[in-house]
Amino acid sequence: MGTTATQKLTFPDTTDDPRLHWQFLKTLALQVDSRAQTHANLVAAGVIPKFAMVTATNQTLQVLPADPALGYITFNTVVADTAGLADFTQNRQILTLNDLGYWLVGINAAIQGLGCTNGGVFNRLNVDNGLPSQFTAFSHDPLLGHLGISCTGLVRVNDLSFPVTVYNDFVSNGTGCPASLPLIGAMMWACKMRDL
Amino acid sequence: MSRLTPNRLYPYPDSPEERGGLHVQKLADIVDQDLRDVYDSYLNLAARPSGSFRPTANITGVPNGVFFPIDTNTTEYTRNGFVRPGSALFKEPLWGWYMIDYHVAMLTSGTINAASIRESLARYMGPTTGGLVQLNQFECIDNQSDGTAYLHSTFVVQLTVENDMIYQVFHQNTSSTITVVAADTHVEYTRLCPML
Repeated sequence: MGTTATQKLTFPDTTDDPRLHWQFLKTLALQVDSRAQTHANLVAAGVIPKFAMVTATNQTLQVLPADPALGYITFNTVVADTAGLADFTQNRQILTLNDLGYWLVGINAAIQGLGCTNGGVFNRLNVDNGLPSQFTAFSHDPLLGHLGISCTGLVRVNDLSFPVTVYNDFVSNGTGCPASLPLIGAMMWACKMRDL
Repeated sequence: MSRLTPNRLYPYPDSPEERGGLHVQKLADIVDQDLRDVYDSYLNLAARPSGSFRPTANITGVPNGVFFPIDTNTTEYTRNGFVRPGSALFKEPLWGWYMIDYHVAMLTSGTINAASIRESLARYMGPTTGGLVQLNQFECIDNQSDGTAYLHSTFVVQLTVENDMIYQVFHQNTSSTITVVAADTHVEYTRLCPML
């Protein structure tokens, strides 16, 4: 019997009794079928990445520069989550990046009735990895009333000793801005793009 | 003679009287195609459907307060893409969750400080021949004292064959004295996750 180089499948070779070749071929076919199905299953399992998207419906945000913690969007719907990333428990409006690799994260929010006389608000996408390297991506909304603001970021997760989380807050930096802000809707997402 | 292995149709001879060589050739051809299919699946996994286009119908000269369609005449890049040249549709996409970036850079006829340019990327979901069933607007806004404006919106949408998408842009100045003298529009899309 011969053996293939990579898959270690057995097949009849010239030293085998030709009268037994048909049995060997049948065995080979079964081996190939099993191996191909295993590979196909691996590919199918790998097609679904770690991905989550959460959304928020109408609500009023508090946008006080002295206390940005009040400006969190309350996400209330998980529209997709393949890896248990979304966590709404105990008002934790976060997505947890629970695997080593490169993650794409983003947020889009539509707000209304800002009406600052100067400056505006920041819609911030915060990544907390428990280290001083925590970063914030933000988009700035100038002056006006009804608009959407969005931002994205690419996160390299190389240490899971501290849970890496993504969350949002709104902070005003202008003058004459209202203390509260009507939110029309929002979405926040995270997707693992590749391994380290 | 063809026999069913557990997962596929593979030929192998039933007895020594059959000519094994023909069956081996058939088997080799089928195995080759099966393994190629698995490899193609891997390539499809590694190469996310993605692309970008730069609509030729830009905002220059578009009256204030109107919707106008964007086209896909200048597809710059596509991988497993579904944007059809000349169409304003994402037609028959590979199902899944897509992140879409919409960028507009423009030069206006004057300063737009204290005024603004708002562009709304309106998403019509639904059968292309059966009317519009849903409209989402993803807006962006900017104002600068030098007459330039850069606007962008990033969001995630779920695309299916049943939900071909039509994009239109709603262009609105808050000052009627402003006209857009030059603009560049750019759209990018990437599938983050297949349909769950």
